[in-house]
Amino acid sequence: MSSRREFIKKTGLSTLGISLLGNSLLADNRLQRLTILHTNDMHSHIHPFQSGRNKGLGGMAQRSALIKNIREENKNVLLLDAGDIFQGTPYFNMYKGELEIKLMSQMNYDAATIGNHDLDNGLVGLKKQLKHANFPFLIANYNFENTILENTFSPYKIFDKNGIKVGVFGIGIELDGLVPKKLFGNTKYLDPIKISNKYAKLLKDKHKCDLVICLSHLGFKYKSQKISDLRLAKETKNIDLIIGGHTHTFLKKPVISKNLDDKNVIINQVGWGGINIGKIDFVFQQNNYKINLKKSSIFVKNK
Amino acid sequence: MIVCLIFFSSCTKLISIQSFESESIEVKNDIDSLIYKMIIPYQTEIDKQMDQNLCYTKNDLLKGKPESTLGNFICDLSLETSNKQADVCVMNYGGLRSTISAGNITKRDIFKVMPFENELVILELNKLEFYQMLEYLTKRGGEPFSGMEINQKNDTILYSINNKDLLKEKYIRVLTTDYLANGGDKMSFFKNKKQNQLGIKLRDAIITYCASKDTININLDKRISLNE
Repeated sequence: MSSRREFIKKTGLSTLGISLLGNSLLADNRLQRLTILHTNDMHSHIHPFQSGRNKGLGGMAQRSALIKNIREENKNVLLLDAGDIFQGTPYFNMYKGELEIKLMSQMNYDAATIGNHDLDNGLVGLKKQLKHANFPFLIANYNFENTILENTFSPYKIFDKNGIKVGVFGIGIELDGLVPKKLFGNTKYLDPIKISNKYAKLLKDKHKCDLVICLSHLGFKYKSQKISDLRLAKETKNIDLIIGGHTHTFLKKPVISKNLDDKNVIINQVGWGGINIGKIDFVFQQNNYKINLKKSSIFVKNK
Repeated sequence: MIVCLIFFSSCTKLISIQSFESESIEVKNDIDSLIYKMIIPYQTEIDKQMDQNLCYTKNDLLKGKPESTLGNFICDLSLETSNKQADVCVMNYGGLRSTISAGNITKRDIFKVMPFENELVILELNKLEFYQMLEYLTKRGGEPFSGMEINQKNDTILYSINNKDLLKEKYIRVLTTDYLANGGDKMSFFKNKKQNQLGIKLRDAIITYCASKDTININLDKRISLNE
């Protein structure tokens, strides 16, 4: 029990902040909370870092304990990963990603997308590990026609979280130049902006999702014009949240950008190696009851 | 009918985002024992493999400039691995992440020296690019290399490539890693060159080499001398 108390103390500040918000607002049953937990670029880091500035941080058993604690407090949780699960420790060299996927399944991940390193053992290497996954890999802009992964992945998935409809779709980075051609074979890379607009619109308009999340492995930003999460946010519509990866960017808090409709898009990424978990708590209101609150008033509370 | 439709559409959009808060939580402390139990059998097997002796080194394999035992070791064995497909090998000091003490070398030692997944590639440099590379190597006070000798005297850099008469050649075939070939560590003379992949990771090349030897005896051999 002492370890549990320790945990509460460690995250006490922020949990308090949320529960205060929760108590005042969520007492009103027309308001609901949804917690998005996310990781990216875990790179086969099963154990905590043993040296360097991240010494003692990370570890999948530790991550799981943290997630379990959060789930105890809040039933409305979505757990997502933005790719590059594979590669980085002998666990991947020896077991080809088997343990990473098994542990993620045990932790009840809801979805992941495909990072470039997840193809480091080729399409066949990823395919072999899928049998260990009880969560889907979502990818909308890779066309696997005429490959062994044809008809394997969905572009998106819709989650119903206690009445809140959440649409999640996956976007991958251009493989050419990052992954040897012989490994990705006939996989076609499709324009992230076009594809994101297509699926975000489908999820928002047709499926009436209350929240549209893009799980992206594009990377946070680049000096060049290369497509990034920042560019994707600006050049699309209907995305509420981009969970990013690839550039191993440690964002202290999410970046808010404006989309083509001048609406807010939240972009977040939490470094790499499982050092951090990103946690975003949304409060939703039921519009037909509320009159006064401004529409989509997204704000970040500084801690 | 129209009224009905309007009613319907206003009714379907029930929920909107009111606010959000966020935090980045450091992962530490508590352990999920169920997950830990799942890891143990894999960890045991990995430890067994990692602690496996590959060979014995008489000397410490250390990092240093202008040359080092570790740098010479890795570049020499890489060039040997290329099986005469390359003339010289150039790596970077910063890319070697650990050292190896005299005694047994285990797989774990090699993973510590080379935790990256860098692949061996061969680039064809013309004479100008080759000379830019030599300038880089001397300006940096030496970086790990193999297959040539470099002798800096005042403003001149004298060099000789083993078993090769440079005057007769149009290109020099340089073995390096894909990381450096893609412009890593500001090796701009490598950028935008066609990369011929050897199809082997640097770490695997080191492991294979060590596993094939009983004892290795690496010394400094004055392959580079710089201005004082």
